Amino acid sequence: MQKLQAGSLLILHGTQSGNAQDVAERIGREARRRYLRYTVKSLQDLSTDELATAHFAVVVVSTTGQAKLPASTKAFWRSLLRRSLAPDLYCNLTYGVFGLGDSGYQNFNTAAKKLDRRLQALGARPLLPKGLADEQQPGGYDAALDPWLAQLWTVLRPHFPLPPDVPQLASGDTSVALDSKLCCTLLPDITNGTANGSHSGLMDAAEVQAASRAFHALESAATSHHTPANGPAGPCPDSPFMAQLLSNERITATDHFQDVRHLVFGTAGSGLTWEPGDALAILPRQSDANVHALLHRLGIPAFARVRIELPGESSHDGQPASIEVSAAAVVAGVVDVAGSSPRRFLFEVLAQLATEEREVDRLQYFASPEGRDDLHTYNQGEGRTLLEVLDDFKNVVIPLEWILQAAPRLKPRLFSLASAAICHPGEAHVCAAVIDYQTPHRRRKRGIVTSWLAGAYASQQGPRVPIWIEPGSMHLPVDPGVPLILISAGTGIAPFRAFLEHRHSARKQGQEMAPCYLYFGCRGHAADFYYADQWKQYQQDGVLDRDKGLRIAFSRDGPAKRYVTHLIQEDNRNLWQLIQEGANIYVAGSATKLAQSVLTALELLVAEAAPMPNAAAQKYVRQLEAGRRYFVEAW
Amino acid sequence: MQVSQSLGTPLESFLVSTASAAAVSDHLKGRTFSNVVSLSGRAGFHASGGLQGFTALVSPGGRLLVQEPTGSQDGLCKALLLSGFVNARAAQAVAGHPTQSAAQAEKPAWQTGAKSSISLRKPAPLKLNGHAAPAILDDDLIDEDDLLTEEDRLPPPAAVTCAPNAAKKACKNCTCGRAEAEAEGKPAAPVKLTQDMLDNPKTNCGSCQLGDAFRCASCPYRGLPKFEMGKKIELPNDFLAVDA
Repeated sequence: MQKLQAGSLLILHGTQSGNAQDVAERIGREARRRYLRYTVKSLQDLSTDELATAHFAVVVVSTTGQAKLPASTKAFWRSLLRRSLAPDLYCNLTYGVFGLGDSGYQNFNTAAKKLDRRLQALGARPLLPKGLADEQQPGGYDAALDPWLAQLWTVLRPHFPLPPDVPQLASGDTSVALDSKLCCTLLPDITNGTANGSHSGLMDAAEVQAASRAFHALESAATSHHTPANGPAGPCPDSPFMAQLLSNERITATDHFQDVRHLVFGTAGSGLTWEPGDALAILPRQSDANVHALLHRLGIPAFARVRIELPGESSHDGQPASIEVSAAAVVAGVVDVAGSSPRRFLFEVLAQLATEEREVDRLQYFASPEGRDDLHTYNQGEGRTLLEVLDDFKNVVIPLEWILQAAPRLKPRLFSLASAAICHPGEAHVCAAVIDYQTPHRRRKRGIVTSWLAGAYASQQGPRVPIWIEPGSMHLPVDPGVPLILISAGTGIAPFRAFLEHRHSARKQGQEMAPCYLYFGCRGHAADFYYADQWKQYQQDGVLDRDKGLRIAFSRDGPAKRYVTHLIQEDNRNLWQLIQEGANIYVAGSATKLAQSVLTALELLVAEAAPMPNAAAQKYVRQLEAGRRYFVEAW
Repeated sequence: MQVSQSLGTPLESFLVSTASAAAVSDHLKGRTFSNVVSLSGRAGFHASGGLQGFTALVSPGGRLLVQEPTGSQDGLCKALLLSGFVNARAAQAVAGHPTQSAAQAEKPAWQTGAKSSISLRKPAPLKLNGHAAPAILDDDLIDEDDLLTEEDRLPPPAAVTCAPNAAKKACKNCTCGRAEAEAEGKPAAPVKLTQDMLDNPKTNCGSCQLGDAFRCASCPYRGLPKFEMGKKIELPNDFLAVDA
């Protein structure tokens, strides 16, 4: 166990998609500017004992969809919940908690709230009230972070006095000193322009993956985050399975506004298996044109090779301290060139690198607290891509190492698996809505993965798609005698198709199964009633209860709009009986619309059918969730 | 005294008995001692039956020494083990009784009726993406939902919807009217884009043509690509249409 440096600030993050880590790194940069010693660490790499040796800590934690702490913090959190921990375990710790949440989901910022309470219960003292950021606020989480950090530095200062000759920084000063953690050197071109591969510039998928793997290993060495020694078995983010697209079928009516696809991926020979409720992770493929456009913008020749190294490090622990890769390959595998919007940090970096007066002015404005809302409107609000930002500020010269550190990273997109592995050997099904919308300034934006796949040919010659499995948060109960209440809308039906196929298959093999009840909301029978024939078959076979097992609400077919919540209300007595018999309830669909309204409907159902007072009904539903009988998968 | 010295323990928690355990414990009414010595002139006295009573007299973790005129220390050890004592071994007979054999043992440190839970849960399966679940023993955990109060569960204040004119900065040399409006403290009304402006774009502030990155919130050209002064801007068809 490492004893942490005395007189330093421990900055911890529990991150799901990288946001908490980004915030933690920002706090580190600001600490550095203020001459504080600090360490940035993931909760994944921290033990509860180690935390007890710290005197000052800041913890940044995201609350994910269902109020659970991020997967990366699971071990630490479980360890922290042990009843056997002494109530004065952290009596030497003074701390601050900053939560990243989203008011679009139920359970706003509960991870931060729970962590704050638990630390206090174990004797730690808060430096300042917890900060709770809301992604939905204009300006995103930076809106809450800026004032909270200003307060943090003020309360920390007496504990970390400055040397007498060093000037005090204004508390709202968010400027950065650029201190690169990487060093990129262009390698001399020894091939006279005839590099590996043809001049057509098509990148080899294997080379891209290898470059990506090497880069992540290098980064892990820098943060001393230990990757498993032998590498994980089976397909994973660093080593995805390249699946063929076997089928690509539009399942919404052609005159319907939404384009939803039923996709079938070939998994034969991949070793992939999953449980119903798990998700398929798909790594987007970046077009060669976009990758080369970025290289061109950075002034890097298309076929250049680069050495990337950690400055001042020599090889240790058997981990590399430098790698040599094709610039195009590492960009294609690591950087999100034309997809997600950059974070504020990139603008801070650009502001320091800019030289043209107008650009310097504007970038400094965007990087400042005053310009934060305007930045959000220009950047996230418009879905501005890295390429677009660099094109808008076309005079800034940016070295590759800053792109690798400050630009958005290529991330997989997750889709709930819509098939049971046993029913379709060698196949993985996905039900995906193609993302295509207009921004507030009427720019058209399309989802990277969905628009790529929608246009993809399902054939031998078609593209290979990098995939792996990510575990989901809801699964079938082990006991087949548990009745299932499945509530979904739109593409939310995907995981339930996996559930029901699994139950259907078990039933065919002679297993006794309790009936299931499927509630589905969509717009119209012809428009988007997905897999209609399959559900009707299941009802005939008894997988879905023959009487009440298939309940559909069409919102645009009839004179009155019908939603699943209406159906829940109509069936309240039957549903209450099922709940009392031990049924599990599963909800899947869009966060803002479905999850909240179903929760309210369930509370109402319990209150009316039991009957019991509203507050008791709410508590009852919460207990269902705590008792792992009520699951929500919202996106 | 002698016994105490030979056992190397203080006198306080010490019992020397020459009677049967039952008689002794009756008399002592439930007290226990960390060191008990039982001396008997009768061989076979400390058969496991006779030892039972001593179990109650010895405190958990405490020591029992038994002595009787038998040739077999092994037999005494065995009797001790069969009565629930642990670590039975030969002992030095108390001085003055060379024909006697002695053995000593300890009473286990856990109390009768002590409970310890065994984790019956299967270990978490190896995750499919290869990252093994960490091996945390299923220790007794507090209920994390108890960490939230009713107030914590309330939804947060509604997010302020993004007003298009929330941004505060007009360009230097503003020509669209924003600067005047800001000076007067009034929200700036966005200038409407006309076909004429598209055919022959003009601006004095110098920001509009640079693209969205430099435009103010009320710029009529928002959403349009960068342009050159006076040169017609090409658009997607429906750009001028009023939002449906």
